[in-house]
Amino acid sequence: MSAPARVLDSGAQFSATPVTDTPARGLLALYVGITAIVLALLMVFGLLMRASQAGFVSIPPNRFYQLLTAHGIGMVAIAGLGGAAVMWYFLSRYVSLSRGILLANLAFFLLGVVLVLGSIFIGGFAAGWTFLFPLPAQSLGTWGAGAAATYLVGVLLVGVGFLLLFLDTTRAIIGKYGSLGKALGWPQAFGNSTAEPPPPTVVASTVASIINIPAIAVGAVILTITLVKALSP
Amino acid sequence: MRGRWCLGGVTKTPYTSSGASAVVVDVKGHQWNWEISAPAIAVGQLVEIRVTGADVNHGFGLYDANARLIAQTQAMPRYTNVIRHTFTAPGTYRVLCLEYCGLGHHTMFGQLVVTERGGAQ
Repeated sequence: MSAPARVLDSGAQFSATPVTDTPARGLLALYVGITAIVLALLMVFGLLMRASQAGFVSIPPNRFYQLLTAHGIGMVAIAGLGGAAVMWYFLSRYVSLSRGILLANLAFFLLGVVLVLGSIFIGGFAAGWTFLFPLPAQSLGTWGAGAAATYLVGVLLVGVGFLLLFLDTTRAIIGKYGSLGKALGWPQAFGNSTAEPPPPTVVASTVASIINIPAIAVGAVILTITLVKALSP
Repeated sequence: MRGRWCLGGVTKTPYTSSGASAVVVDVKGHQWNWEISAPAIAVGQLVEIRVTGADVNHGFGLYDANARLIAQTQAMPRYTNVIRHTFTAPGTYRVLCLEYCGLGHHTMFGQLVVTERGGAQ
């Protein structure tokens, strides 16, 4: 006789604690507010580029490619910031996350954004958000090594902030559930466990943490190699 | 041969050699122009386009008279990508850069001229 199938639907009940402490709520509100403002700014950049292509406004190539670079890197980064706020809000109902790390991530992010915007609109850096090696270091004299290095360090700082955040989510998840496999519900999915599986929020956050930590680490290696190339071509 | 090995013996791909002798076109992407050798190319002739980059990554995009992309590959420094193509219509084929390569990216134009068998365009 086979065991009855486990059915999980949207009505499944999990023990969850709403985020009630004011500092965390304030920080998350700041995350969302910054996300909205930056998103609106980057949409304006996008519209400017489209208006230029349509011939409605005249933007010289160097300024166009600066907008292209800022729009691309900004959209990726701000999607990360907004997404992190959503994930933190829901995950913190199930595990104990660090408010200090949440604040540190925002600080790294804002510092990185200042450097990135400065490198682009003051330094003239315009290698595109993909900064495909070795373009940042070989601009044919259109931007300097200092601008390239400032951009790369800025992106690196944003990455450091997110790395801290996802290390903290991983720490908290393992602390509560014992292992990443258990947090993914593998004992229930592939084993004989009949215990209540982790809530979907925890499973999704575990997947995000597992993917993001190595992805950020690889990104940091690429940024560092490009930085070395820019400073000593 | 290496391509055939990597693809596990699949032969009907653009990456395998037909065995016929090909006209070779050497292409090198620079910031910001194309350096293209210009041999006589005729319709129906197998053409081997060897693409590389001089400085940064470029994208070799070959367009027909209707601005339709008919072949493309990366133009990478210190590496040569090979396209084998047989043109079926005469005309002037434009080459554009498909990989952002700096402030003059949009000015990278080149061309390949393909003639009818016997020389007429």
